[in-house]
Amino acid sequence: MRIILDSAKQSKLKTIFPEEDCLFSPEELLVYQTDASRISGDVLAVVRPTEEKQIVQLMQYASQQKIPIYPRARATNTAGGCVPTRPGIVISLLKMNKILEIDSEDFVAIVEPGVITKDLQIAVGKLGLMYPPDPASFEVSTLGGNIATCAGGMSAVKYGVTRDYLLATRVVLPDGRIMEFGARTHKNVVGLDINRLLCGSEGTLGIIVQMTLKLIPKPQASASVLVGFETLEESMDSIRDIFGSGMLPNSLEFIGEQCLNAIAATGVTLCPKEVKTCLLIKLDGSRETLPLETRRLIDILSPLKPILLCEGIGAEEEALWAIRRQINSAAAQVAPNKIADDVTVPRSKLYEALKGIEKISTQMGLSILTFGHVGDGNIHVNIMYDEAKQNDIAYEAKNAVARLIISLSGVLSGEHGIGLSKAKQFNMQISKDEQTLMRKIKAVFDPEDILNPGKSY
Amino acid sequence: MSTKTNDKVKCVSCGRCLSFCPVFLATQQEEFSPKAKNQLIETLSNDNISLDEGLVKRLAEMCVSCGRCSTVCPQGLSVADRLGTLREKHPGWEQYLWDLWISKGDLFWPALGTIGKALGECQGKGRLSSIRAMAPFPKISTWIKVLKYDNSGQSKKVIFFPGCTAKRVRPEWVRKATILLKNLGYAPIEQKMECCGGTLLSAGLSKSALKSMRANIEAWRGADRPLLVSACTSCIYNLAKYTEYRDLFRDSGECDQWDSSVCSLASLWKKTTFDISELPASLRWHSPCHGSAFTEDHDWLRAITNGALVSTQKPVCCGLGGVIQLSNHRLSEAISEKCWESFACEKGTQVVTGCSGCTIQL
Repeated sequence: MRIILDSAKQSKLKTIFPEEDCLFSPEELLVYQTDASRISGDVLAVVRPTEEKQIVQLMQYASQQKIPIYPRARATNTAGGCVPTRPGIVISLLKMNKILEIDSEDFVAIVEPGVITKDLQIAVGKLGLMYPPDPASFEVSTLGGNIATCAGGMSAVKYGVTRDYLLATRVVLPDGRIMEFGARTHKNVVGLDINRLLCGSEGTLGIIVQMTLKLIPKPQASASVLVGFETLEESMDSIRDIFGSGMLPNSLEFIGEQCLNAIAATGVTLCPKEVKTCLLIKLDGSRETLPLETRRLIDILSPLKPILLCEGIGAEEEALWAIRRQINSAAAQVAPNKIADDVTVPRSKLYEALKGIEKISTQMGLSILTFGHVGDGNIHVNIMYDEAKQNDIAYEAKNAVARLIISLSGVLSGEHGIGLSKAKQFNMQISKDEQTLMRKIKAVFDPEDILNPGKSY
Repeated sequence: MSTKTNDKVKCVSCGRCLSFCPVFLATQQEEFSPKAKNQLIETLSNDNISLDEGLVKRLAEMCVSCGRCSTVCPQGLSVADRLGTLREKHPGWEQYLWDLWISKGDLFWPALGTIGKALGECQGKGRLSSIRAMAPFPKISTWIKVLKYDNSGQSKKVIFFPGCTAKRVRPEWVRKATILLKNLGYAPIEQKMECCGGTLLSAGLSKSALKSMRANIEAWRGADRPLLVSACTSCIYNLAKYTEYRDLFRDSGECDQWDSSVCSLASLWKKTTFDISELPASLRWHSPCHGSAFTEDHDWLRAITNGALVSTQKPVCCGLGGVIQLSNHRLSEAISEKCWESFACEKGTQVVTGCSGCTIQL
C-alpha cells in the first residue's frame, strides 16, 4: 500500500511552496524515488525552493515533525545517495541555480547548489579562470551534488578534488538555523575545517544553499596522447615512467581490455585489435612549452614500444577522447545491468588490483569493465550482469572486488560516495569506533536524524 | 545512434538527457524530464502498479519531440518515439487531441492546421476552418543578392516541396523558391504535396501520416520521379526517412530513387555568386532539432558570409515541436525564450535557420 503524506502536512507544505513546486501525486513523484543507482525508496512529497527562507521553514517544520528530508538536484549519483531510506520529502535544489559572483581578482566564484558544473567552467573560462574538478558527469551534474560526494574527475591527478576548491559554505542545518563556514580567503586555519567535513558528507549534515569556490588561472592550451599496449604490464610500466620522470599530467586515464572489447563492438575503431589496454594522457600548460612537454611524454612512452601512439593538440584532441566517451554506451550493450564501483588504490598497487579484478571476472564468469583515473589510483569497476539470472553472483563479485581493494590498502570509493549501494561493505573499511565517532558528529548537526538518514556511515 | 521503442530496453536514470531536454531546461522540473517520462512509460507497462492515466498523459504531453534526448541516451531510448507509440495505443488519444484542438484552435501554429485536418478526417466531421492568418514578419531588409546564377539545371524537372508552413501561411516563400529554381536552370512543376508526415507521427497520428506520405510519393511518381526540393530542413529530414518505410515504394529501386531525389534548395546553388555587402552586424544560426545531419543550408550560408554565421555552442530547441503548442503554449514560449537567450543577440543581430517551423516559432 502506498504511504501518503497526511493532509495537514500537505497543507503546511503548500503554505511554503507554490503549487508547481510542491508535488504529491505518485505520477509526479515517480522519478524522485530513484537516482542513477536505480535503487528506489518511498517519496511522500517533492518541494522545490527558489529561495533560502523556504528551506529554513521546511527544515524547521521537518525537524519538529521528524520527517526525513532528502536533498537532490539532477540525481546522477550512482550509489543511491539521493534515494529515500524511510518515507520522506525530497527537496529538489534545481531552481537554486544562479552563479552569484565571479571575482577575477580574488579568484573565487559564489554559486547556488543547482548550478551545473560545466556552466560554471564556461563562465569562469571566459575570464581566463578555471574551476578544475571535472567529474565524468560534469555536463549534467550540479555543484551541490559534486560537493555532497566530493566529486573528483579526470584532472584530479593534477588539480585535486572538489574538497580542495571549497572555501566557504552557507548552510541550512536540519533544525532550520543558517550557518556560514569558512571564508573567501584561499588560506584559513581558524577553528575546525567544517567545510572539508561537509564536502563528501553525502547531504547528511546540512543543506548547502551557497558555496564559495576557489578558482585558478586557466592553462593556455592542452594536448593529448593516446597510447595502446599489448599487455597490462606495459601500461602500468608506462605510468611509472611518466611519474618517475617528474611529469604531472592534467589527466591520466586507463581503459582495460574488456572495456576496449565493448567499445570495439559499438563500431568505434580507434584502436587496433592487438591493443589490450590503453592510456589517455592529457597535458596542459602554456602554448610555448606544451609542444615540448608533449614531445617529452612521447619520448618517455616510445621505448616501451606501444602498438598505438597518437597525439593531438587543441581541436585534434577531441578525436582521441572519443574512445573514452564511448564507454557508457558500450557498457550498456554488454549486459542489461551493471554495478558501478569506483575503488581507489595507492598507485603502486594498480597492477595487482587490475590483475585481481581480471581473476574475479574469470572466476565468476562475468564481464567486469575496468577504466578510470589511474593517475590517482581511481579505478571504475563496472560489473556487468543480468539481474534476472546473475544477481547473486554479481554481488558476490562486488564483495570480492571490495576485499581485494582493501587488502591492497585501497578504499571502497574515490568519488561516488557510499550512499546505499556500498553501505553493506562499509564495515570492511571503517572500524566500529570510527563509525561511532562519525554518527556522533552527525548527531551534533542533526539530532533528530532527519537529513538524508541511513546513508554512508 | 538508432532509437529504440523496444519495451525490454529500460531507462538507466543516468540523467544525461537532462542537459539536452528543452522542456526540462525551461522548467527545471525533473518530473518533466525524459528520464521521468521513460520511467512513467515503463511503470505503465507494469500491471502491478496503478497510476492515474490522466496525469500520466499530462506529464507525457510535456515533450517537444525534438529527439535530442535520444542522441545522448546510452540506451538509445527516444522519448518522442515512445510517446508516439503510447499515444497511438491510447484509445482516447484522438478525441483528446481533438478536444485540445477545439479549445486552443486560435493559436498561431501552422502545424495546427495539419493536425486539425487529420483529426477532422478521423472524426468524420469534415475539414476545420483554416487557421487564422499569421501576422507578417517585421520588415527584414534583404542582404543577400544574387550576382550571377549557376543556371546549370539543364531544364530538369523539379517539384518544390513547400511544407505546411509555406503552404499555409507563407505562400510568398513558395513563389520565391519557384523563381530561384527557374533562375538556376530547373523546370519547377506544380504538384499538390501533403504534410511530410513528421508532425503527424509525433502527434501519434500514424495513419494520417502514412496517408500523407503515400500521397507525396504518388505525386512524385506521377511526375516521373523528379528531384524533390525543399527549403525546410525538417521536411527534408522527414522526407528522407520515407526510405525506412520500404512498403510505401513499388520496389527497392524506386526507394533508392526517392532517396537520391530528396534534396535541399541550398544544394542547388553550386557556383552561384552573391553580394553580401549589406551583411547584418552579426549573424546567428539556429540549428533545427530535426535534420541536424542536413547541414547544407548552414554550410552554404557560412561559406558565402566568410564565416560570419555563428552557431550557438549547444543547439537549443525553439519549442515548436510535438503537441506542446496545443497542450501547454506557455511552456512552448518559455522554451523559445531559452532559445533566444542562447543566441546572445546584440543590436543588429539577425538569427537565421533552415527550418520553416522554427522560423515561425522564433
